[in-house]
Amino acid sequence: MNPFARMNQRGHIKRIGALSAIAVALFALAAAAQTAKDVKGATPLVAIQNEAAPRLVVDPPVPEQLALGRAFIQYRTENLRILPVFGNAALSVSPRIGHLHYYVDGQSWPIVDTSGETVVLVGLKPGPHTVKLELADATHKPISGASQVVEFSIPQK
Amino acid sequence: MQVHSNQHRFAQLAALVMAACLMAAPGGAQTARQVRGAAAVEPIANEPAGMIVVDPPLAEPLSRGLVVIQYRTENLHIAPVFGPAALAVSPRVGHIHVSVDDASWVWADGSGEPVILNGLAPGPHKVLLQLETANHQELDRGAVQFTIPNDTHPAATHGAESRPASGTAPSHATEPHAKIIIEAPRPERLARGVVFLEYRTQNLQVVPVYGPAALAVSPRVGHIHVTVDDATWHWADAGGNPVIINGLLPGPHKVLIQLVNADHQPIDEGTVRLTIPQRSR
Repeated sequence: MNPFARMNQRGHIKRIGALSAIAVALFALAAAAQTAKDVKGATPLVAIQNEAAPRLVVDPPVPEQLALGRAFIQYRTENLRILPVFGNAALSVSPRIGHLHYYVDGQSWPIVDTSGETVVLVGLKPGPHTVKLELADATHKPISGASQVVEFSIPQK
Repeated sequence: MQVHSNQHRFAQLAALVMAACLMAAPGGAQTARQVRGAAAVEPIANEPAGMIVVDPPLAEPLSRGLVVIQYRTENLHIAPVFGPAALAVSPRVGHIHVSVDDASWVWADGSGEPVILNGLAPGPHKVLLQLETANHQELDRGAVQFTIPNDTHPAATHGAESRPASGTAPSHATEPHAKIIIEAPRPERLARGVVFLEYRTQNLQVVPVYGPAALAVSPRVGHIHVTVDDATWHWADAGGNPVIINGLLPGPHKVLIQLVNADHQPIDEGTVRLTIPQRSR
């Protein structure tokens, strides 16, 4: 690599630094100025053409609560609203509706939850546990790509 | 070499721009907690002040005279939980009060769903959303101002009144008619100037699910429209909670509650006539 190229590279690094700063500033701005729509998703009142695929984001259990032996698993969805509405006809509703299934420690059958609230598991035995969460459509069919597994350990008392 | 360098630089720039876009994108890599706030089951010490962010009405519905106002809160879960004891609940719970065009009265909404108004007269309007504690003390507020265009007419909107009532969609052939049963206002609350109307529905689940496709859902889904004192406009409520109105002037009033299907066509209705007593201060 010739010296010119090396200098050029240093120039790049400076530019990258500046651009990173701008990116960070933009991120901060975006976080501060997020509209209700940014955070809550589209209003349910207006149908969405070609709505993007549903997405499930699951957080690890809340650490302070896990230390007390309680698993509080928060989640959020994109492009799917959690509601107690079921059946074939509901598949055509837009914006999309569905609900949550979850399975504790490899159980074969899902627990169906239509509340949209944090999954709360209290009283699990100390030791490792696995909870699988998945989004399901209004006919209880799991939605591919919208499933997450959370592994955690309940401490000894 | 120069070409390579430019490509290299372009790739770096592209990567940075993409990274910036991803970070700024709605909900990009944000955890559930970042977006939804602390879980309701997890008490928080020294929770920061509750705040509300109100979006302008959605443009396309507004062009049809339909006002849809989305909002979000921070450090406060919207929940239909009321009273002084609930002030101590952590994380904080509360609700919104909504008022239109500087009216003396508000309605309370603990559903967390967007505020939906239809039938406002053409011209400028203002809607105020007040973020309230569970005991109705204001924490924050956000107002939106907008103009209903002239060329909207109830018939051109999703206005229920323009269409025949069709409570029974084809798929509901065997499902009994939907009904709304509204109880008389609670006298002890009315004496304090608060209109508290409990209702229940039969053969219809109140949920925020809308549109023609939802007409085929069985069991039937829908929501209510509420009109006060023969106003041209109503608000929609899909929360299923009691209708709560506060601040109406002393004297006689009437509240019309329509049960509507997911496509806003009326199925059943009830009108409550009541008198707000003179305030004894």
